[in-house]
Amino acid sequence: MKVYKEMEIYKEIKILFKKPWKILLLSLISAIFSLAMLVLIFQFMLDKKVVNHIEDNYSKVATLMPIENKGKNRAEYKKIDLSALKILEDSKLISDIDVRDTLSGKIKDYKSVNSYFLFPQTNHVIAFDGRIEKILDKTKMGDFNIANVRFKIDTVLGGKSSWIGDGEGVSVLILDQTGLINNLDKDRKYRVLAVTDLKEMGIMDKSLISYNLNRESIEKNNFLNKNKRLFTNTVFEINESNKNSISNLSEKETRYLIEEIKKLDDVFSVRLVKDMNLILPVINEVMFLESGRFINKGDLDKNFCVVSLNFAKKNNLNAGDEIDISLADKSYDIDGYPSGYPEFFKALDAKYGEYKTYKIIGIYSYSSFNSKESSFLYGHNDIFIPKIDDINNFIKANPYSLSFKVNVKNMTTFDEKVLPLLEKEGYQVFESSNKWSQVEGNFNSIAKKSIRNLFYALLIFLAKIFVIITGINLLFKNEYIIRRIFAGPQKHIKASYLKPFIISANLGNLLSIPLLIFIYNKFMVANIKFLPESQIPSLMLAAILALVLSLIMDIIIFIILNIYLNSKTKKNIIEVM
Amino acid sequence: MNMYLKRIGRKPLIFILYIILSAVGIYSISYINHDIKNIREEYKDIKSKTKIQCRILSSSGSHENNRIVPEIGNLILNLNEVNKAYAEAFAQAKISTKDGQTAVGVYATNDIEIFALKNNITIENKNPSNTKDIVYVNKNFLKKNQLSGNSKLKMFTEGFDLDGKRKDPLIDLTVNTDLDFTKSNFSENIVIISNKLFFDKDLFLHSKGLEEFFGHYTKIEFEINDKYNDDFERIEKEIKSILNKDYILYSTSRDYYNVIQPLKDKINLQEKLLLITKISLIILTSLISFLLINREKEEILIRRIFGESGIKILLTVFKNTISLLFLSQLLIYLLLKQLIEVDILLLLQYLPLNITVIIIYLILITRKKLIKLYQEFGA
Repeated sequence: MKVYKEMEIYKEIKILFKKPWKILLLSLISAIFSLAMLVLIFQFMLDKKVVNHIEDNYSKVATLMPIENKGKNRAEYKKIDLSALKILEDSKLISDIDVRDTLSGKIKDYKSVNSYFLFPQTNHVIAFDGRIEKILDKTKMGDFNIANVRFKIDTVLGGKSSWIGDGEGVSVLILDQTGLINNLDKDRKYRVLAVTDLKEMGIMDKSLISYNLNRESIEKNNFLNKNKRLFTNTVFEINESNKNSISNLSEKETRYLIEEIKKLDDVFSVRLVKDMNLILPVINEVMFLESGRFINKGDLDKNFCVVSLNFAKKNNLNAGDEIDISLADKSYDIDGYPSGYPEFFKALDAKYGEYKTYKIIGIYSYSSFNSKESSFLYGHNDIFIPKIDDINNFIKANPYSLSFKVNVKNMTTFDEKVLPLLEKEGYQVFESSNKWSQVEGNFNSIAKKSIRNLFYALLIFLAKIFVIITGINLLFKNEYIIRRIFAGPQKHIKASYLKPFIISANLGNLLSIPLLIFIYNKFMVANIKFLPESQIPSLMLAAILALVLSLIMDIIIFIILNIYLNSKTKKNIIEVM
Repeated sequence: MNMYLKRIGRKPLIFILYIILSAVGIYSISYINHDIKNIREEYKDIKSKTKIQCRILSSSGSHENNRIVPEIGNLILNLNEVNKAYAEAFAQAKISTKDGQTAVGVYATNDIEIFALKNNITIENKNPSNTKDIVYVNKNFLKKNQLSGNSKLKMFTEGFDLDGKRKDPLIDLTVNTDLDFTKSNFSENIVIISNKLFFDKDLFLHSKGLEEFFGHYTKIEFEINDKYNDDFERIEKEIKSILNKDYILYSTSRDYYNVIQPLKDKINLQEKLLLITKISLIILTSLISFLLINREKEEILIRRIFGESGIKILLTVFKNTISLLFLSQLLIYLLLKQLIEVDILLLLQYLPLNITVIIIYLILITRKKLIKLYQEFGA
């Protein structure tokens, strides 16, 4: 038969709140201890991320290069064997691999930069009708007769729209092997086909070159051979028979050339990247940010883009502005080099999709640049956007598009274990400069210190157990003794300690968790803005984690308090008093 | 002494709690302080190993034709935070020779040694002079123009003839042949003068009519003094505010943004954590102080029933409790000092607050009506 009727919960609470300061005091103590402990745990977590992030900066970033380059393509654009890529993919020592993809793209209402990079494009040529203003000088150099001629343009027949216009003056260096320059006269009108003079920085200005080669020269040069008609008869007087032609092209071919030049006006090379910090020139600080930031892993599938300073300046764009990009279904392969532009004099046959708005998050420039030699660099008309997902298309991998990262802790093992396997496949590792050895000691020391936060947290937890039990003992001893004297059941007696604990622990959590979130948001996260957003736990996640940790701690204290009460119950009431 | 033992021995738990709490608090704070100091040392070391190199580039994209106006160049070169500044300028000029005059290309630099290193020029004298009156000349040039080392020659800017109508001074320079140009790509008609002369308003290139064309730096490179490495963001802003839209600042600042700044932020975070720990310690010890004095309530009630005056009770209880706190803190300080470096100021930060809590509480109790104080024990 049940003699004892369980006390109603509201009555129990009424007793507890007879002296509310006791519960409030206990709640405050519990909150302060919880808060201190949670701050330390969160600090440890974030510290670890910060140290990892800093160490990551020193990682080895590299690509694979064939040890021996066979064939005509440059080594940087030679396809990498899948067997070598498999070694990288299977190795646990590699923390990241990115094979950058390229697509041809168009940008709405913005003009591409008048620039040259590595390979000639159809819109690097200009055809115009103009009068000779001045023949500056004529010389002979080797097989060439050279004339430096200043033209005043009447009409541009075909040429990049923002480059040279009607009425402008240009200087044309005519390299002649056919005796053409002997017949040039001032003030007479000529039709000219010329190409941009190749400047180191790749910027097309008003200096042009026009070739008039003889058959022998054309035969010698394979590249010229492809488009040999564009290198002869490039300056001629207009008459009835040639009024619709440029150089030695037929009328149809002339129309085709003019049309193709026009089509390229808003074309760009769009590079799809996972993380721009894996690009070798970025790591080596040859390619640098003029403003904004580079694309990182947290930007996958976001409509962000990074553009060149020359493009931004030309179109008055700044970081934060938006542009509309339409991506094509393909890119063009020019001797292995992936480009958004078709090979010289070939048709732009890619199909472009719908325009989507992209936000410019960064503007890049170069500390040094050579438009003819920079095999790992990108042109001024290259635009970077994030990949949609973290999937690599290994079929397209070449040294130019591949990057992989070896964490600082794995660098030595990588050199010992993976490098020989790659060498066996015929590849060497081409890597960024690395300063890790200079600072390794400092970072090891910093990393060790971060672990101490966990030790402090444990210390505070132990102190909390002691303080809470002592506090309850001090504040609620009278109630416990009264219940013992009146010989209530064990549960009722224990409740004199356990209920104040449960209430104060929950009140403490109610106070400490919002406070922790406030500290986390205002002080902790605000101080680590340099970390990618994806690496910082959100406020919601932090709150859930704090709640779970607090509950675990409370359960442990509850169990210890129970054990303590069991041992206390065994004691004589007089002894307890 | 007996009185203290009695006071502690009566209900020792709160007192032990107070001692443990303050000991743990002081120890933690001292440890965090110690850690911050250590990380700061590591940080300083990393900071000194990080070199932020800068270059002023033309924003037009043709860096090889940089033309930096001296007003901007000099402002940057004279910044306090700039170290190892290197500047270069180039112009055409003429030199008077026995046969008349010869056109020369004039390079000006503030640092002959770096200039020599960059251009593959061998320095035969270990301490090349870079004073205003010296012109470094290729030995072949001397031979060709029948000049000799240490001979004086006159240089004048292109466009001004030796015998023409000219108000601008000719520059008398002493020929120096300490530089060996053999391995460089320079033609024999290249001469090198000091930057100071090149940009001297009264002399060389600022001669009438030529400022516009010649008076520019072609290269400005420098390093950020590592003392200021952690302040690069401000310096970068300052330099960018000096530069107009024609120039951009290139810097090897990757390590600053990826290492120095995160480490600085980490230390800041740790310092904030220290502050939170300190505040927690102050609140907790104040709470315990309250408990410590609360247990004296019984004694105060009895003494007031027996007619002792409020002020006398307050003074005795206060004296006893405070001296107890002081003694215990001193003991903690002396003990912890053996383990770790403890800042005595830390004690002075929370003890006054603990004492304030005790005083306020004591005043409230001693001023309370006796009957109300008695009723509180009935609960």
